[in-house]
Amino acid sequence: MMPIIGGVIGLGYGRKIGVEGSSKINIRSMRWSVVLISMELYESVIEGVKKEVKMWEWMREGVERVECGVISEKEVISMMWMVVVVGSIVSEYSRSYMKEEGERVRFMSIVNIFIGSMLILVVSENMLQMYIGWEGIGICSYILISYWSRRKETGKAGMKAMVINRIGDMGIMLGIGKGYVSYGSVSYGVMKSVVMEEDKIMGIMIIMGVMTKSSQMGMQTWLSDAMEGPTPVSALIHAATLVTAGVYVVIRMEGIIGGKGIMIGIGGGSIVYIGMLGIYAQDIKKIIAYSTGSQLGYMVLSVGVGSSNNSISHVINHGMVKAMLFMSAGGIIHSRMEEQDIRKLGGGRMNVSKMGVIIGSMGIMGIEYSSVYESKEEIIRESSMSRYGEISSVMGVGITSYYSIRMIKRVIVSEGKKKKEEVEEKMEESIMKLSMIGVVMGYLSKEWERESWEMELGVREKVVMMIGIIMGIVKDKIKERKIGRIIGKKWYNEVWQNRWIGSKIELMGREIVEGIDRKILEECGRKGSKEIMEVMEKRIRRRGNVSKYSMGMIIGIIMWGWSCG
Amino acid sequence: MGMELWIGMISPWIGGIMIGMSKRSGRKGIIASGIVWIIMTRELVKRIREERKVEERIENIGYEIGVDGMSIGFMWLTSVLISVSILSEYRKEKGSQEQLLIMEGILLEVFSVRDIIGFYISYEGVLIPMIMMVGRGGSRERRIRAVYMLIIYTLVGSMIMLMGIIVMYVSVGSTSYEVLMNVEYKEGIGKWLWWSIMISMMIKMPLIPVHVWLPEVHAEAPTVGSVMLAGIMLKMGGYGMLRIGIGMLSEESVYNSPVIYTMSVISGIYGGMSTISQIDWKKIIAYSSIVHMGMVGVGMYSMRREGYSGSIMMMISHGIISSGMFMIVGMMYERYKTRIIKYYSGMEEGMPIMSRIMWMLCMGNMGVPLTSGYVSEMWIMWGIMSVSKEIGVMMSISMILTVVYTIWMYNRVYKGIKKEYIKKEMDISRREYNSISPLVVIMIIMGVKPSIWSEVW
Repeated sequence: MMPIIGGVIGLGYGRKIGVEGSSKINIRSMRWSVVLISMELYESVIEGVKKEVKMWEWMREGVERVECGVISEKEVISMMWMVVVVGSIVSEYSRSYMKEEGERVRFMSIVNIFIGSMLILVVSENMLQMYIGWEGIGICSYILISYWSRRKETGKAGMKAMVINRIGDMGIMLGIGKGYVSYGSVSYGVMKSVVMEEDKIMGIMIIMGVMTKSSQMGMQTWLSDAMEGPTPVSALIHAATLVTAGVYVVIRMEGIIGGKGIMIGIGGGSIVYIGMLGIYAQDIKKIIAYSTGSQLGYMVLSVGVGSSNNSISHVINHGMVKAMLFMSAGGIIHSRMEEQDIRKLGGGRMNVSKMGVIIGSMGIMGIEYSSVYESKEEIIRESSMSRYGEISSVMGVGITSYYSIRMIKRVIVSEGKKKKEEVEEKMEESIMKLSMIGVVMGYLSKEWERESWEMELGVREKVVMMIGIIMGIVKDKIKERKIGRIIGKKWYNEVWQNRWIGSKIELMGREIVEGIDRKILEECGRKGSKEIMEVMEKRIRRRGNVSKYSMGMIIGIIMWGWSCG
Repeated sequence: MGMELWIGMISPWIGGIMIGMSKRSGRKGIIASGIVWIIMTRELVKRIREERKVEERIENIGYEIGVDGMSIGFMWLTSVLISVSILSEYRKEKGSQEQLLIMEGILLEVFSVRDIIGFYISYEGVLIPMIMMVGRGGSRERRIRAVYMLIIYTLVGSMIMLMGIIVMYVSVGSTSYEVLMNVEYKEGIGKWLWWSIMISMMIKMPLIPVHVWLPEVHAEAPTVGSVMLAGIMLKMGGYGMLRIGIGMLSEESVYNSPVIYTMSVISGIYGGMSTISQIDWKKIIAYSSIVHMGMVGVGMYSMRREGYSGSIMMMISHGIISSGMFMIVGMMYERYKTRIIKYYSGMEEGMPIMSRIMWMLCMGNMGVPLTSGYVSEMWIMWGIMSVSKEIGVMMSISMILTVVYTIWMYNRVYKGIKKEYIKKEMDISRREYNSISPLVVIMIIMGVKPSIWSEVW
């Protein structure tokens, strides 16, 4: 199992060799890990081998030994394969995308570390090793989002991502603590063997982590701000790796944690909630980001209704397609001098990036014969277990098709000012690679992910989707009505986060310092003692003999001691 | 093996006196502190390798000194920090080296003495070089006030502790640790004893209502003073809590543990909130150490093995991380003569190496896995979750606040556009690099392989 080492070590050498050399090494190490993991994939999927390798003992405390290692099962390996494939293609892409930027060595190496820590998360057998990867991707995403450090927004966006993710991290940490207390171990295998009934409190804690990392309802604000980073980063963060980490963790812990109802609620809610935000967004990258959020809702929902196999296949298919979509959007943006507003992007000739947008949007919508279609359709069918999940997932289809079609129309069909477009061949190459994989994946995935296979999309969904498409074609200008205003303000979500929580905490801090620290405690402590001393001093001086008093004090203390003893 | 320990204890004094007699400091300080460091590391390695739980003692010097698993970590931390700060103070006036060495002598005694009166004497004795350091080396006129606060707060606490110690002596008839550990007190006395000793320790730690002196002194102290204060002085409080509070008054500690929980949780949240509104760089780190000390208190009083080793780990790791941060602040202060964060911005471009080191220290402070901060937080969390979930949740709020102010600090100083106040930039020099890199290395080793440390205590 070399790939993790290959992925991470790329950095260590990277700093010493020049810019070109380091990016070459980084890309090559990624490619090697693709090859190695593909071999593993063959072994585990076709031959059905299960392996477990222990590598090093991290900590030993009481009865618990935390040993980090690697496991290879079907889900793990296919997830890993997706991560490295997307990672290697993105790093090739970013080599040409970031051509003119400074500090490319750092960028490429951090991308590699990002992929490496994601792999650590995926292969881990216990929760602590998982947490290494979990924090690692958080830190790397902070560095990558605030990569253009001269712009003030990037720093803010990075900090927002970090802080909101930290809330979830604390959830995971509490979950680990709860698991340790109630099962006496942090290893998935041991926990599964000991478990009597699903632990609901632990479930709530873990779901908190999932909500922030996978940007579910209410916590999605960092995701759209994270678009300040370079486009390859958003492709990496949003598609393949960071956001799916949360879903993946829940899938691994299925059977240990309870709280499925909450998962259904959150997943179904965020399909609609975040999807609606996508309707009103005008920034091409933000539309794709919101669409990611609502697709993640499907995944969480599907874990909630108990079909985690579908969920993981949706993670993989969606990851491929979404990375491709981001990369082609990046290609368009790059060729148009960093213009991101879809109202200004229309016109121009057809090229590979635009083809990529079309294929990707079709895929996300779930048009038949695309890869996402198969997993999505399965999820919708399974979600009929609960009324709420069913309604929201069907609504989600309509919403998704509405904003996808709107984006296609705006970017490609409608006419705008014709500008000079520069196209990078390397970028196109990687877009093509990924789109091929994205289309083919669907057929491959049905081979190994599923036993039963029904090729039937319900009439209901088709109708909803058609409505969405027609609406998207006909009515793509948005008027601000009442409901529109609420969604246009992003459900007032950031408002309450900032105004009610963020600034309240800051204000409270200031009040604490000025009110309590500087006034009460200081009055009591420093000034108060000074005054008491002065008064004492005056009295003692007036009465006279100081030495007598001090003698008396010492004798008194000793007497007190005697009396106590 | 008493001889080696004895050399370790005596060499800082010899070094200090030799520096005092000669005209220039030269390399004597480095040699003396290096000897101590070598001895302490050997002691630690011996313990790790042979898993030796018994303590070593020297008894023929009037009072007992000895090393056991609880104190070796702190003694090693002392030796590391003193040698690092002597390295960073090299080529300056001889006074500071002398003070540092004398302080090292007293601190080693605090952690190794096996007698409660000796503990009291050395516990108070540390104040003298500390006051000298802050009062002479501080940068502003306000330092007199800071020293005044330091004296008032700590002396009030120790007066109460002295009373407690007298009562202990009177009712038991001995001041040795071995005797005191196996004594049960009468109902009424035990409670009062616990309070009298804990108040002093709380002031030293410091927990929230009695913390006011700490940021004030930090803000006025020179870099070395801050390193000593945050690195070791605060740990004396934690060590005393462990040794006297839990070791000698264990029943009373169990009885009174909700008090410590409350105070620690309050100091975690309150300290975190007040850190967010600070603008002085040193005060941010000072308040952050209050937050971390709150976690230490919770872990210690969870009365579980995990919490116990987590809290010792947290003390040592915080000693290393916050000292490193203070040293970075000191370097920046030497360059630009200000500690107000608003004047800094966009320093990452001009000083990449320093900003990377600061970033690593920040990650340690936030508790990112594979640094020592994470391991200790995790263990404290395990310890406290087995006692009560609610306290665990409250502690996690303070951990979130830790991230908020750490990232905020880093963002303001190192990211963004360069301010016009900053005319020239100089990255970290070789001497500074050599003095700070050991701390980062120790932090990472403790994070990657924590079990070798936790085996010891």
